Amino acid sequence: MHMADALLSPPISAIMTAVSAGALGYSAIKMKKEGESALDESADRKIPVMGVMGAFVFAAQMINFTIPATGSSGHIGGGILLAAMLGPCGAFLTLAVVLTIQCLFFADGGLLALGGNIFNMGFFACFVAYPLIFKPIAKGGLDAKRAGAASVAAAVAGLELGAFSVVLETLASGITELPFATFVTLMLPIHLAIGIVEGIITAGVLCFVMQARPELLDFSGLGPAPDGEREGSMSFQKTLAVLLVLAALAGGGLSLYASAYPDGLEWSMEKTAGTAELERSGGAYEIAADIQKTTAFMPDYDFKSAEEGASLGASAAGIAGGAITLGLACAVGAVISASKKRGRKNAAA
Amino acid sequence: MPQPDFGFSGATLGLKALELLAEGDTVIHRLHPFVKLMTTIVYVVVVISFGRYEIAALMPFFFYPAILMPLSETPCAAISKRLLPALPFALFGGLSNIFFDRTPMVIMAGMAVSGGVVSFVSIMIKTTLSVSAILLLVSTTGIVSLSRQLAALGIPDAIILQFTLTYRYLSVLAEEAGTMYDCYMLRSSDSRGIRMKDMGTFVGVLLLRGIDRAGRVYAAMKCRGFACSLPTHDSARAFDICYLFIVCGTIILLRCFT
Amino acid sequence: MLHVKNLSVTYPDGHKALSDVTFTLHDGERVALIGANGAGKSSLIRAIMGLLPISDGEVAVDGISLSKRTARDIRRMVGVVFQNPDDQLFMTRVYDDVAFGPRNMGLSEDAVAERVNSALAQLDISRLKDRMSDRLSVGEKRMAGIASVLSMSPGALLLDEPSSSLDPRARRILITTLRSLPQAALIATHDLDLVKRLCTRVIVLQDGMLSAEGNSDDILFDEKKLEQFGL
Repeated sequence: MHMADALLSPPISAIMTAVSAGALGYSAIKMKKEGESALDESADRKIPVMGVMGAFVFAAQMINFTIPATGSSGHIGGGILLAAMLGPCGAFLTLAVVLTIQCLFFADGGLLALGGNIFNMGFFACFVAYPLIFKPIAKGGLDAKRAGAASVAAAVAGLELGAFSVVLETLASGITELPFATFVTLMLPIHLAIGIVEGIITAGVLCFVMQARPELLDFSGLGPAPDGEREGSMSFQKTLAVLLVLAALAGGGLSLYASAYPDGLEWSMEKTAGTAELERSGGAYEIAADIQKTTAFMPDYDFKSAEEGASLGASAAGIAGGAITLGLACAVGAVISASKKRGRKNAAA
Repeated sequence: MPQPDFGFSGATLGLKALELLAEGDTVIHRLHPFVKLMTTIVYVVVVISFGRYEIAALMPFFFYPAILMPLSETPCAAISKRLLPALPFALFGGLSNIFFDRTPMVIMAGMAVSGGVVSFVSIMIKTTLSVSAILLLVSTTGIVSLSRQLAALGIPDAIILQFTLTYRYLSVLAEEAGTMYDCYMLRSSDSRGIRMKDMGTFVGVLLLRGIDRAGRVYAAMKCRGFACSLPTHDSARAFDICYLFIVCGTIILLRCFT
Repeated sequence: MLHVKNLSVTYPDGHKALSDVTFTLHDGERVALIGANGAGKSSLIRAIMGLLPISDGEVAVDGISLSKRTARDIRRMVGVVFQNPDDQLFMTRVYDDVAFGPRNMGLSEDAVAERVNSALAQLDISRLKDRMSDRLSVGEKRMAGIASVLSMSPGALLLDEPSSSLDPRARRILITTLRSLPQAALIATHDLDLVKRLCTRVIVLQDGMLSAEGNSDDILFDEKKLEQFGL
């Protein structure tokens, strides 16, 4: 689900970065407050746990599992597991850090796309699926069945929202030509399968931790937790989640507006509308077309403008010029490298 | 035979290799981290901002990695090897263009090249350029300098601390996971990896061990005076500022005049 | 140097790890801390370093009493070598691990380098300087772990099981090296032979309580007592 830089337009990247930065700032402040109000020792204990949970999710994402009956494989996202152990804010921070490290050191997901990736993979799981789905189900005692139901439902919801958001962001950027319907029918089922497996694994881990070290868990589903206090914080979280979802939707609408290439979605719809295949999935198409109609500022489909084609050079000459430039770049690199080597040899002699 | 443990040790080895590269001592390594961070961001933004049928105009941007790589003595293989995992998603998005955008755009050697192929090539080039730029930033700056720089830019301490610790614990956890995986495999009758029914316990045990281990590592760090605030960097030198203006200026000029 | 007075530590789950422990470690003195598994040796070391909340009593180093505020100073004066060197070494290169402490003290890079070099030379492991930490043998890791503490030039060392899982030669080197160090040392160990060779005094912990204290020779030759201590 990691988006690359080349598929997102700068305006979309900027908006997503701003949204994620806001959520991160909020989480950091909240964590800090929590740390200050808690006793010195317990706050201190949370720091290594957060770090190791991040590393853990990182490592867990490297274990691929086979998705039953599909023949393909996937890996867990870890958002729900993190939230259940660290609370939404801690989980969001941790996931953001994991994604940053993946981006910087493993080239997994782009740097400009980082905001979008954090939002897609962190926000929905931590601030939507966990407080609104996992917690209500897990409330009032957590046995294996309940843990399973809560984890699967939350993991699926988080992943599907994230996957849908990937589709929206990519199409709003207008760099890929993938039609909306095709993209959605590709993304959603596969993430449904991944979500179910992730939910089962999450439940397994949570059940284990519950037996071995219940004090490590965040949620109130166990034993005599101070109920009134928890209830209060829960409703606060609900309000917050609703507000953030609204903000996100507003941001999404804005991003369609602000996109430098609003043609992607329109174009793919025009294209696909002509084919018989899409008429079957008319529902999704119509909804998308409605969103498009109300938000797009370029109503015409005149996307492939003359300038765009022309800038390529539209001829063999353009391509030759490009090849020469590329060759020149490599040559310069080789010359620098050679002169460096010679310099080192001289220094050694 | 699937070997998840290879994934762990491979990943940590990769991290270590990048970290060792970052310890080099070249003109690029000595640049102020802020300067490197800014030029990388400007470069990536500019590369990404080109239109989707743009290929020729992107070519000059190959100069950036081509010059930086030898100057920083980063082996080409170190970058290209890490480029590979970045490509699948772009490939997926890009390939679809070939299928869905069939309008002929360029006539080359008597063959019509569709707009889809052109935009596909453009996407792949952009991915290659932006990913190499990011990898070059990391392989010449290193995690410690980078996180200090992030702290200096006002990113909250909590996030920076998290960043450093997650990075540190990766190898700790990989080690535990590797040992546990070996023990599991030696005693399991089939060699097809961890069974689904054992996954919860396996991952759970790994987690608890990791947490305990991390607690001890953190204690050892605190005993040696670690207080999560990082000392700040020296201020930028004239050379750094020149580099910043020249490189960013060139990149932006290239964007304006192509 | 180090004074521990009526120290008690209770874990949050109610388990009493230490109760009413009192002893003194004088300048330049090497004292063994022995006791069965789970007797509280590691807890004592962690409590002295301010890693465990103290429920009662006092820890003082050179007249400075341990509190949340002074923990950093105490950690500068007392160095801990943990049982598992992998917990202690977490940087890529040995050099950086040994430099970690001095760097946290805010020293300049030159001063850091000087400290690292002298710590490595003191333990005769200068050759390990540029090696990767996780490519060392257990014996080398142990030495690197000690160096990472020595570079902070502490007045006292706390060592947790320093000779565990070392081969006989590495163990001999360790003993010679420890004997050459001028610092006061509190050594938690099961290795009674090492105690005989290194320590003048012995403190015995049993179920979190100080059950005996005295000359190494007196305690170590009393087999009946040792059996009773779980050793």
